[in-house]
Amino acid sequence: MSPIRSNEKPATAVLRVEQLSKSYGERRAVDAVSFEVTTGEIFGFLGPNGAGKTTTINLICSLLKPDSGRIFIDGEELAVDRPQTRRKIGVVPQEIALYEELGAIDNLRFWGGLYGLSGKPLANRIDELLNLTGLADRGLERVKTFSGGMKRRLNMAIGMIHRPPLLLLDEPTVGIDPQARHRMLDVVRQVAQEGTAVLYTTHYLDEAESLCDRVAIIDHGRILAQGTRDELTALVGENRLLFVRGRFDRQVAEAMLVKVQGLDLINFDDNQVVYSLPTDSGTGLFLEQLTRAGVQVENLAIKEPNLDSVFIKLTGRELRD
Amino acid sequence: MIGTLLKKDLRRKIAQPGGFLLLVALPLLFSLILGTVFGGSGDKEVTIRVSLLLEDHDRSLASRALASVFSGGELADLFSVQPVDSGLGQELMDAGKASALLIIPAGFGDSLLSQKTTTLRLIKNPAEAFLPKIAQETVTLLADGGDRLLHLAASPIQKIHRLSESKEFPPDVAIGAVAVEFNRLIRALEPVFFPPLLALHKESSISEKGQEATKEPEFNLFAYLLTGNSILLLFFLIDALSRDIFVEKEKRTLDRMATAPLSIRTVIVAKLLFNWLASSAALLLVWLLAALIFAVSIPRPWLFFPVCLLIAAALTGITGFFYALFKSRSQASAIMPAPILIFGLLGGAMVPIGNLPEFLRALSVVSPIFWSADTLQSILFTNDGWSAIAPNLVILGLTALLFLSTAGLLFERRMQR
Repeated sequence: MSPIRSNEKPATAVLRVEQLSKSYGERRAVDAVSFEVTTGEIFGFLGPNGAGKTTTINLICSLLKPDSGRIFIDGEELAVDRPQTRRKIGVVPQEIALYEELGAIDNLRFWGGLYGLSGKPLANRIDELLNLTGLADRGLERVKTFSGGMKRRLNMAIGMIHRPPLLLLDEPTVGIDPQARHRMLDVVRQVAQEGTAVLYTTHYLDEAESLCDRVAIIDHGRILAQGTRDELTALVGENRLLFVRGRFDRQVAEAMLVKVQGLDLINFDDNQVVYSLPTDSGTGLFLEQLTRAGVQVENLAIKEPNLDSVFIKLTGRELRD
Repeated sequence: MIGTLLKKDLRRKIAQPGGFLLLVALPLLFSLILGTVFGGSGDKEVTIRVSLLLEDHDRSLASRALASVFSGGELADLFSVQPVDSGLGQELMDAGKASALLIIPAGFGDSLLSQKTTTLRLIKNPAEAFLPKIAQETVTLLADGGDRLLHLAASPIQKIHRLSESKEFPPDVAIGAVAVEFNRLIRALEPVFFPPLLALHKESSISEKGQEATKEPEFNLFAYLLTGNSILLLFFLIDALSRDIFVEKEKRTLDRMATAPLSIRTVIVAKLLFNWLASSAALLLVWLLAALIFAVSIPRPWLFFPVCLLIAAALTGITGFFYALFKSRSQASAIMPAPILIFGLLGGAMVPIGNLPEFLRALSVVSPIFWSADTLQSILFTNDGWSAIAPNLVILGLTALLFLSTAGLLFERRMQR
């Protein structure tokens, strides 16, 4: 897995979100979220399902009206009654939103038309995108004959038809095969290299780590931490996580903290205990003390510091939970 | 922007034309059935002909004169007479091949000349309701008329009878005497029948004060029925078209459009506009085909076709209003046919308004189908001028305006979350 690429933050903020909130009744779907995405940057929104990622995207692209907070695109405040600001945003929704009875070219032509493109510039852009997404030889075919991966690629191409300075990608690789996923991530990298600011939501840890320049970890509508991978993993220090599955009570679990230096209890439940242990401490002593305490260990997993460790550290549970 | 949205919907309909064409074809299919049933034609009248079999057992001058009555004058348009051999008439009647069989008995002519009672037999086809009655009434009228004439001309007829029984050719004087007697009889009867004291004067109505009297357009039952049915089926077509907004919602393309630089109002206007244009095209197509295939006469096309556009706008508005209240496609599919059918019933598209109970007849004015069909019928079958049609046009126009704008506002409110 390649490391997150850069610590440098480009100067211009294409998207700036300030204290954005949205509630549904008592439930706060998005809670005072603030962040910014700059030119050529891929900003990841990492969190489990229901964390508030899609709601944030929907607020930014005007599908939802925020309860409070402000959104700036290229320095201009976004307002529902000013649809022209939306010309600067390209949206790739989580659900495939295509006209399946039409061909790929017809779909691209329609969405391009909505953004004011026409004639030769539109035709050229369609060719460009079909090549970029590997659909050049299927342009005239009806979308309903496409595979899931091809539909996902076309879904993404539509979001980029008007060369937006800001591209919002909401879990664009859900449900596609690894090869198609790899191809899509390459496209995202290429778009960012051309200067587009990308907001990329995902619940795949590897995607966030390999693709994003910076990542915000979101849960229950709140951003728990944000920064580069190094900045985030620094939050857990040079610690590895130990997942012990077995049967022991809380007293025994806490007694281990005294017996093993540097050991920290992250989470406890009846079947599993999660500890953090500095990477320079061996696990031998830990296992010995565990056996002496009479714990029946069913399984032990050791996890090196990564974003998942950060998520566990911040929330007490794994990202997939 | 609206053009882009319209083109997209048109492309989608062309890409999957099945459902749309079926809905456009429905009124045409209905027209075809109506045309077949009623033999609809604008120029030709819907004519009824009584098929009459004639079995002449007498073959005399008198029997041939009686037969010729059905094939001459106005009766020739009403009767189709087929002479048949003895015995064959009953066979054909049993097979249901004719409306009635008239049997002229042997000795019919002699009986008339000798002033003896003779009986004509009329056998009616029980499978037919009206046509045998027409035959019966006509034969009865002829028999009564003939009977009176025979009594009045009894004296010269008896003389002819005597002359005919003589073995020698009658002398000129005798023939002349009979001719003179007939002439006197006619002269004597002339003041009784002429001039007629009661006369029927036929004339056309005057369309408007100051205008020349013009002939009323010909009534055509097929076209009359088509006015109501085409509008009822148009309602169903607009219903099907309106479902597309839910289809787009389910496919998430509606949400995606809301992220593009266009207002929700533009999207809604484009949807309503498309429904109006598509339904207008369908209605015009129905009537054009009715004119071309079934020779339905459209007397004032410059008025008729714009009125079709107005009707389509009113129905698009009403359907749009209902759809703005529905929450899902399944809800719309379940509920929408009910108001359409109620409008159809009250508007006379299913049962002629005159046949409705009085309380339902009073409710007809709430049905847009009533106003639409009434306007089309006024144009097709009367010479009503603007002053007569204007109230209908105002009602349809206001309906279109009110419901289209309300539907637009309701949709907009619902889509702005």
